[in-house]
Amino acid sequence: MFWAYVNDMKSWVFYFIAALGAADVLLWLDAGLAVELSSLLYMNALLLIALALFIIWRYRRETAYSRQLVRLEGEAAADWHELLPEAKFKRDEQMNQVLQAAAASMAAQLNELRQQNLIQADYTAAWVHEAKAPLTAIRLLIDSNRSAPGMQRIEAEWLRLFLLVDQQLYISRLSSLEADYAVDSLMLKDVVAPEVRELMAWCREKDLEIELDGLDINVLSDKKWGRFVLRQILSNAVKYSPEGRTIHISARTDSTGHSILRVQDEGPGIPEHDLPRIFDKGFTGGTGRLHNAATGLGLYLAKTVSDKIGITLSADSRTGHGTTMEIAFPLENDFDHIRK
Amino acid sequence: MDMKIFIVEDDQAIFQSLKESLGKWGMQVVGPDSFDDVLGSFMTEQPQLVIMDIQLPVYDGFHWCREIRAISKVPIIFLSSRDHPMDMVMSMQMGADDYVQKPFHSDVLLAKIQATLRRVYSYGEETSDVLEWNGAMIDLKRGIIRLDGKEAELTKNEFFILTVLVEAKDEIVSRDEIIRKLWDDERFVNDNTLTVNVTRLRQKLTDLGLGDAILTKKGLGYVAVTL
Repeated sequence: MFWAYVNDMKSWVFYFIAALGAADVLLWLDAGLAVELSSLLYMNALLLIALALFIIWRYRRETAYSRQLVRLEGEAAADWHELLPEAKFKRDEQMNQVLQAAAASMAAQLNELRQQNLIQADYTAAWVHEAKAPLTAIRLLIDSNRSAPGMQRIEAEWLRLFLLVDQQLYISRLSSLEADYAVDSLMLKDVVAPEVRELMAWCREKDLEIELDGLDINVLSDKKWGRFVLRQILSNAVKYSPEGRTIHISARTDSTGHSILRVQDEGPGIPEHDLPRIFDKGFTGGTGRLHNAATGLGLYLAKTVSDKIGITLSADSRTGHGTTMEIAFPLENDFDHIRK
Repeated sequence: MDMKIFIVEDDQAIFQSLKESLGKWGMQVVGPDSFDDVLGSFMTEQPQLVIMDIQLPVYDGFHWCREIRAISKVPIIFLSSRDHPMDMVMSMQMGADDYVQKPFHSDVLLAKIQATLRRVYSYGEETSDVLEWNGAMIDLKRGIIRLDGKEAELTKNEFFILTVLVEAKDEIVSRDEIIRKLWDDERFVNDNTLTVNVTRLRQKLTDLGLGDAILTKKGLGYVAVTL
């Protein structure tokens, strides 16, 4: 920092040394001014020491502002523009003004963007609710014409459409999850069974059987978001199950007291090299591409929501031996650090 | 008892579908003449139950619920695509009896309507705990079937299938319908399991002397016949 300052000031230093040199030459050559060599050296030393002291003094004064500015850089808080150091010089003041203006313009842009985002989310939520009216009408038509040919296919397609629309609703809500979140003690069976029932048309189409086991335990979670996570996991299991097979859903409590829900399918499994990436956005993997039905969004959303509500997701699979997904629910005291 | 249901729903497709499917259950469905004066139509119709959408033209469902509550204790079921807990709390505070979220299955709504009607008007309570079939007693409470002092031990699935068939005595019940009912009862079985269950059920019935009481109608389903 000091040498950078000296570098900035080098023209002044050069000028001083040049002036001193010129004075020396004048003193030496002018016959009218008789000066001893020792006196000349003494004067030069004195003036150079004085220059050094002057530079140190100016360095401390003139760089006080920028040194404080540098310290601020590391903190980079959202309200950094309010912590700007006090300006001693006109140029520092101008710097402050420019920074304030930049911050203000940035804040305005950010605000506008946030506003647009909010409008977009509101619009999406409203759109989803609008879409639910025709979905309801179609649902009722299917229910009252159940014996008509092809109705089972239509019902399965209806379900796919509904799941997509509903997923969209949750995506638009994701940003306000914290405000829309309430922890409850839930009986696993009461959460899992309706969610499985919801997927009936799809399971019927693929002739799947779902086996529930040991779900009479209570877990702590937000009902709505917990069900959302479960739905993504379940629909994934249904998607990758071959026809006529069984999906096993069971629960256990591990040694640390966490309740773990396990969803096990008999699908083709996930290759080992794909396993670490299944929760990534847009990742569809070999099986996904094979079936041409994966959006790569479901598990990513499940993971995002899980992280926010303190649920841990894990997957285990071997090619050809199905996939096991585990959902570990948080303990009561885990919520202290979720809420921060 | 003939029930009149007053449905306040501005989506005509949904209204017509509900009218048809509730009509099959012997309920008369009426709607308001205009959404400016739902209360007036309500007073003219004097229904036994009200189904109310929240998002309506002119005033919302909460408004009409309050108006109706001021003059009547008629049961009100709310219908809405909104799923925020606040909406449910609001409707309950307005005096609603239940809240159904769109999209709903018509059997879910029907079950809620029947439960509400049963509670309010003690209607349709003559359901018995015992079914009689070809001289056998089916004890719904204890889950057993008995004939001439002999008892058959049925698994839950087998018992459930038997009850579904006997309740529709002499009518063909399709496999699809049985599976659907099993799923509604949180038994998530597939085609193969149904076949296995029916085979075992038949075997156990044979031991009781009811060997030919359940017939298979190829491609149609099963029927529990009166011998």
